[in-house]
Amino acid sequence: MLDLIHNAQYKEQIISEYKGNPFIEALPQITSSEEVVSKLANFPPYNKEERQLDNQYRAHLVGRLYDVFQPLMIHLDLESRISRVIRQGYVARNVLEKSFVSNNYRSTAGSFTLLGVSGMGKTTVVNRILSMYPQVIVHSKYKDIPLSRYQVVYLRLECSYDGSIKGLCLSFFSKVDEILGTDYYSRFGSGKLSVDNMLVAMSNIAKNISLGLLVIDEIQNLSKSKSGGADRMLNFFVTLVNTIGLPVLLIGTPEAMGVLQGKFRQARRGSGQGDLVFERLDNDINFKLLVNAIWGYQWTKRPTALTDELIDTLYDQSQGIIDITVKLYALAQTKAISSGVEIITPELIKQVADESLRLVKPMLNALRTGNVMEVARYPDIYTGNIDISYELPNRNRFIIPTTSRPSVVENNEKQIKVKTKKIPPSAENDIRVMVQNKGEGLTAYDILKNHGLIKGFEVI
Amino acid sequence: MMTFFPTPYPDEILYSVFARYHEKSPNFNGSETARDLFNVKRIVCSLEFPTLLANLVRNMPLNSPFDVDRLILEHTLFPYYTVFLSLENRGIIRRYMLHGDVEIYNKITGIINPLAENKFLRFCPKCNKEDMERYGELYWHRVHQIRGIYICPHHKIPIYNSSVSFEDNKYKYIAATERNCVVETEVVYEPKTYEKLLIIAEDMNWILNNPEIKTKIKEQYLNQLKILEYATVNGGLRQKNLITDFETFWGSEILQMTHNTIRKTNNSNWLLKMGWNKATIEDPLKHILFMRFLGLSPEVLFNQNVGYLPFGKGPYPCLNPVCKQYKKHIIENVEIKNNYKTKSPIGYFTCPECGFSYLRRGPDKSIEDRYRYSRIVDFGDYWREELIRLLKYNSVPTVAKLMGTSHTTVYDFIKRLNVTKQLNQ
Repeated sequence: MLDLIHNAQYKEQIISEYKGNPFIEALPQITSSEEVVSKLANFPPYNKEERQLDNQYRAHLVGRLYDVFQPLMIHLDLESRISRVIRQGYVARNVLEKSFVSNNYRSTAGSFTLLGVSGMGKTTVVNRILSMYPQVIVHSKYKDIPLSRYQVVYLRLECSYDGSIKGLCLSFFSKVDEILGTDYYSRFGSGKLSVDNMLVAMSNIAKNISLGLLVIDEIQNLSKSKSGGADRMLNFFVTLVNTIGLPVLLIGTPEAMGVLQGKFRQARRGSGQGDLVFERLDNDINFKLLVNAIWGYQWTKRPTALTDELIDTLYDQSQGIIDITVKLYALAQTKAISSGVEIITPELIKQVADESLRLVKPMLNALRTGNVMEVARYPDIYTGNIDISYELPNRNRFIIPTTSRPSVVENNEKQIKVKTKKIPPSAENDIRVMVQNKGEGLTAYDILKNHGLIKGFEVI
Repeated sequence: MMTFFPTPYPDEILYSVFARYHEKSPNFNGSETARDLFNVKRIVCSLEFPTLLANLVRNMPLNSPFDVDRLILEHTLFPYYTVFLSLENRGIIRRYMLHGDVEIYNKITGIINPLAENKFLRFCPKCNKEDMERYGELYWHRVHQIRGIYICPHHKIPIYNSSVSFEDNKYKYIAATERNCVVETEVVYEPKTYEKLLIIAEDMNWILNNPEIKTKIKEQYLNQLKILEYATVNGGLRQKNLITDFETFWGSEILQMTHNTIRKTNNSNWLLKMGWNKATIEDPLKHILFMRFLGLSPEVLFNQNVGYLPFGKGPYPCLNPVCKQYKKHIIENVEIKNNYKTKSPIGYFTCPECGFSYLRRGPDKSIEDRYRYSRIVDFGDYWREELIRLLKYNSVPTVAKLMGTSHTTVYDFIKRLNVTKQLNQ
């Protein structure tokens, strides 16, 4: 607990809204992009002489590749958003301000959503960005005003596997307990409390610990929640943002999009920083930057220079998914080392991809072919729009025959049934007429389909 | 443990800080708050003497700037109620507040008037209005919760009962809100009553913020009693006068309101104990009533020595007309004795130069009284020698005039002188 805790050091602020706010002044200075790059980047040590080691050692060395972190443009964007969202959120929540004390403040918090294909390093980059901040700051005196409180700058939770609210609350309590040493889990997490009470407790705790940013990862799990569960959870996030003024960052794979688009409209309205989607990398400068960064970590005996062909092969095989790219490169190296080839070729990469990435192959193939229908089968890689409110067929174009309801004359003694007339098929566009005029060996299904009354899957 | 501790406002009572904590905490009931604050399941909320403060400070966030003794001094009624206690007893109560030993509670009942206990938490509407504007929330002021206070010393307006009663909320901390602090009917006191209540309130506030006595209270009282002739020079009280004058000074209304009525028949009357050395009265309100009756403000009583000087300050003049130091201030000390009949003080003055000694019945009413004597005790050797010297050349009446005495005294003296001469011969 203790190593997480930093004593507040208040820094002069340039932006006027941030002045006089102990929570903002205690945060690290706003960083320039160069600083962000140098702070985010992680290049583990590498020694050329390691290339001469025996196979078994080199196979282990390859694992170092997974620690490489090369900041990309989108990471800088994300860092800047997080930095803004945390500080903006604190603007209204100034403990020294009487509007905050009287609970009469306008929330300045914004939430935003980070979506990205699985394997793009969403969680990694968010963790790296957050680790630039101290997690807990202790305030004891601000300009002669005695203060006694903790400021928890960020808290990262994972949406429970079944998307339940209770699970989220419980992990919130245990996380706070872990960093502050409180006993909220045993107090509020026990069976005594209803979920609603837990939510009240959770929002109060978030306020007490002056939480700067609540990060909720794996938000796509919401799509697995019971009916209405996702709705309630998202509404709760809106409450956090709007009433407590707590910024919320939701992270998920594109699978979450359906949930968010269907039910998160209110929350999106409150999202000051917009949404951020980590698309797969295009085969452009960004991808080159990445490959360049990892290429140096080579432990084959014969050094292989990076060529455009290699880049293209890597891109083709990984489809721009960072995790797959790094894995491919690492696997290719191990293969080159173990087989004694000691050189990395496009063929080797392809071979490794075929052998070792069988599980993800269908998805990658779908991405490669660009077939929307195929891609849509894998909701966690499909970043396109799923438009639920598709255009309804024009009802007036076809007559659906209906029988008029039998009119019953209410009488105490007996009921007189009035015979209903059948409407004879008359109009040209009556579906019965259509079906009757089938011919050419077509089934009724085909006819209706041809007229556009039954929509095929591919139309969507 | 707590993740935050609200910064107390000026003159906020600790109970109120706890209540504000409870309100902001995620806790659903008082026992959870008690656990946060003191690590105990249940604790009776004490307004005047909160206990377990050592646990409280331990439960605060790391590097908390709040210190137990400062909290006690600035945010409890401890300084007010214990101001007349001995250092030792004060230490006992402080320890009790830190660690909460139940047995010591008996000690506390001695210093607070059980009759005057407030049934409700109290507030001043003007203070509340100012707090709302300045801080955005209300809090319970320390000074308004003193037993027997009726006027807000800051705004000089009556204090009102809130709807928060202690009886119903023994285990709950309830913060001041605009809903529970409502003035239902405005209180107006009689101007005379108001003035007295205001003086009491202001003195209470002064003591609360200046709880340090630099003088010996009992001596101060006795001296003042002697000056006002409620006590003899030997320290005997003129009980009847004291009680009747005290009652007329405050009026029965005030005494009833402050629950300090005097029982005349009872020998253990608190008023009579005030000046006694052995008896202890520790309720500050009684002291305020008493000191104001004696014409003393707490500021004077605590900081300046009230001397019993029925003849003013020395040195005093020699009143021997033939002495070289005549009417010059040469006598340093006066010996004060008690008159058997009138119990008024009698001062004995002796000139160190000529041995002339006179006495004067006191107390002095004006500065001229210093040059008056009631009787000459001893003329002194110098005076006698001078008389013999003068008698050789002057007539008796002239000598009497010069010596500042009557001719009978001179004749008397000559007679005695002759007798001694004859005896010597």
